[in-house]
Amino acid sequence: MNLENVLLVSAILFAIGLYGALTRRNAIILLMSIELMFNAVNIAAVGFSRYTVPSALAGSPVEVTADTVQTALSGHVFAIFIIAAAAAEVALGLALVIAIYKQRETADVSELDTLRG
Amino acid sequence: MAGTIDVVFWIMSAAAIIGALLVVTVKDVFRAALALAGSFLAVAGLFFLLQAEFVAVAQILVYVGAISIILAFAILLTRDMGQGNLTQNNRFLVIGGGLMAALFVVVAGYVAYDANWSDRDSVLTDLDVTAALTGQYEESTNSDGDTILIEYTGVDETKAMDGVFADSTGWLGELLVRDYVLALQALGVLLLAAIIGSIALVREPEQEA
Repeated sequence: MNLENVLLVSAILFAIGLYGALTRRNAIILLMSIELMFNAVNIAAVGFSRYTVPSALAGSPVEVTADTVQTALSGHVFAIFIIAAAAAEVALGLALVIAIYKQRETADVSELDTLRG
Repeated sequence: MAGTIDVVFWIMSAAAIIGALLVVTVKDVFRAALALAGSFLAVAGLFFLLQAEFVAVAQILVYVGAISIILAFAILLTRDMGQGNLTQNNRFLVIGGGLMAALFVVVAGYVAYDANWSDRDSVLTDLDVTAALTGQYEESTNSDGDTILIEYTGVDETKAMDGVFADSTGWLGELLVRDYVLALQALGVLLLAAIIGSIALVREPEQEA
């Protein structure tokens, strides 16, 4: 388990989400695929946070200050904000899907072509 | 010990990837949602392995607990399309999407393994959970009376890093209400706006009196 393997897993998960978002026509599955991509990004952020050492920690004797910790844990902070933003996004996205379904009786994104010129 | 961690890491990764593959291939939308919850759970396990305990718990609470349930509700509310009548039927789309995904994995994987990550020598290559959990550190105050200074005495940077992650939740709490407090407040407003927006979108129009 090292940074490269973590990034590889993250890339594979992102690619699967990308594949789902490109090929599936069900709006709910599209949202799920986007969530998968969010997850992959979170893994990458936390992995970088874990395995790269801030330059302030590279010296000896080592002094851990609040600034160092901020640098070291910024990946975690990113992940938490992404999780919260994804929650807001999925709530709004599913509300849209349900609103469209009530009006059009479909959740097939390829049928939602009202704006097609 | 590192061998065990490796095994657990690959099991978690395999679970996450298999779950994700099921999400994008299974026909029944409800089963896709269940597979998605499983994938989220495995990713939470990965976060635990990466010593991001708070992120892992947030992942379980928000993704497994909340988002999966919301997805299930949405599927039930749009029930008759859940029976597999919406599979991908465009062969070229599937081939193109697959090619795009494969290309992404190849390029990103190449970058991950080829790149010289900053200060390569100090990139931690092994995960020593025991050292992290027993990370020797002591709290002290600096000359400004700042109480958050923690001084490591005679500890190499690997151990110091582990010490940071030994109490990552505590540090994260301080960071969120100090350095990132504005972003945290904005996030609260964003969630409120999203909830109000969702309710406004889906509620029945009021009857005219």
